[in-house]
Amino acid sequence: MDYLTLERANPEPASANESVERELVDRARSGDREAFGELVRRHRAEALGLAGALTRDAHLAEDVVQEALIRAFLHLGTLMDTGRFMPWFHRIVRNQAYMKLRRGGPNGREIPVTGLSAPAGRPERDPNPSDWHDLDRILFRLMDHAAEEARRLTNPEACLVRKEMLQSIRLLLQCLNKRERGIFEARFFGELPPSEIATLFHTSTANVYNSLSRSRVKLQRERIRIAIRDYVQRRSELGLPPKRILAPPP
Amino acid sequence: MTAATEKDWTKTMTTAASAIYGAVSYTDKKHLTLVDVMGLTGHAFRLNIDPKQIHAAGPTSFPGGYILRRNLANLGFISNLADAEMPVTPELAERTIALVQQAIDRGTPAIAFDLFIPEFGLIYGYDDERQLFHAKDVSHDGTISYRQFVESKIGVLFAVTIAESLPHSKYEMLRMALDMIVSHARGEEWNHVFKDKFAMGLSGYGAWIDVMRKREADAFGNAYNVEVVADARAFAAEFLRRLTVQWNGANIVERMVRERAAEAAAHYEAVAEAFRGMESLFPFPQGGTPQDAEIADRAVVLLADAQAAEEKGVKVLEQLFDFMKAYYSEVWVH
Repeated sequence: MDYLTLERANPEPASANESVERELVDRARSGDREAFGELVRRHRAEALGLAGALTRDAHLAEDVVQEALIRAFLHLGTLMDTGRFMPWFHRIVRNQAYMKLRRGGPNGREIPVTGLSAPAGRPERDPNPSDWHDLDRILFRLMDHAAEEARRLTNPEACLVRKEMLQSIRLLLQCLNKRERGIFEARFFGELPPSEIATLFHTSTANVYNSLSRSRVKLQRERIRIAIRDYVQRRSELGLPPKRILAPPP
Repeated sequence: MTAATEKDWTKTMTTAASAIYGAVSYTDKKHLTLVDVMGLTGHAFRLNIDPKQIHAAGPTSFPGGYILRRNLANLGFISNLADAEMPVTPELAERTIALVQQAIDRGTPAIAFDLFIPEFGLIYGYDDERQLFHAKDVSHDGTISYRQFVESKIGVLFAVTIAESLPHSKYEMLRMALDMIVSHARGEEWNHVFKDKFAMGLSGYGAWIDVMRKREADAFGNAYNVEVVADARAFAAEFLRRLTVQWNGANIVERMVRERAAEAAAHYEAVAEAFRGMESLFPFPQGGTPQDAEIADRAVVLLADAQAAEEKGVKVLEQLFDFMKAYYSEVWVH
């Protein structure tokens, strides 16, 4: 089975499908996360089929697709011809699958469970979690991947920086409102200039800058809040004194 | 000298020195008085002037990490510094909190800046459960959350802690103090980002006089600077006077210290006297009317007097410093 047979399995007529597809890719490239979500929905099943056929392991296939989605999401900007999304995406799936198989199949690497499930003490989600579910999954997965790379590679600093950045994005997404998220993602993932983001969100460039700067401040606060909470907890686990107060100075 | 003798020698306007004094009082060197600390850290001899309007930020606009650690070294302490640039990473925030906690665990408070107001203060307790520090500065004795502490407003997350107290002879203490005093007075002290923004040491007088002549002094800032320098120079004169008593005259070094300190004390007393005149012209915090021509001209005269006296004082201290470079013993029988 190759991706062409999978492509033919698509129920929509080829031409209509192609133009919708092209539009979705265009929108996703310009930072529209909903469009990317739609692309994911459209191609997830067939990608899973392809990955399953290559790896012959359901869990590993899931892993492969997840990885491929991340790569597609991050590298969408490098796709020259927007009409070629699916072949491009499937090539990524194949590469991921082969890479994993080369590493020794389903047991050849640890499955990053902690990256996919909510770690202890993770802040409550939005009341409307489905909106961000996929993206959060992707980010968690990416973070774990970065951590793994940091352990494995000879240049751990670069990977740690990446991990730190991804951690930042994940935290940020939890503390921003929907509009701020949109603007921040457009800047971050789409790497759009603020002027274009302004057009996209029907606002002024100044507002985009303000929003980005507010977002950064919120991000910083959130990161620090979590860091302090974890730090205090670690001290307590280590049995360090919880409290010490000297006599007030003169 | 009546005003000087009435002064309370346990309080100072220079909060860097009062924070150091506070921290030192928890160590084996608690015998050091605030007068000793003001003198030996050089804070009694500092002058840092905003050349535009005598802004209130002047006295505290120095590289805190460098100066405070050098101060602690003068007094015989190994110290630690945290000055991570803001916004800090979670890792640096944790390490800074840990540095403060470790100092408190050793029984000494940490020196910080802008706890309740933008001055130096001390963190003397921590409470992990409530995630807060117990802290004190000149304005307030209370608590500050770990988060507030980490969200520093001064560009760096600053803390200095005492790591270890070392045996340190009075020779070393005085020589190192003179080194700082002279290099500051001559404008040779490393001043980091503040270098071109403030006039340091003796050159501060020229800058101050210039602002007075242009009638551009900020009333509050000017009065605050007057208050800080008047207080500092009173401490300087007192520190030098005490040297003439504390050094026993048993050998040539002891006698030279007494002689030069007495000489310098007279000059610094003249500086202090001029600043008492400034204080009556510019009462803190209202500050009077420094842009008023007649008042400003009177200030110029007082500042010129202070400058002339301080130039003589610095020269004497410079000679003493050169002399001290050759002597290291604590007790010398001869």
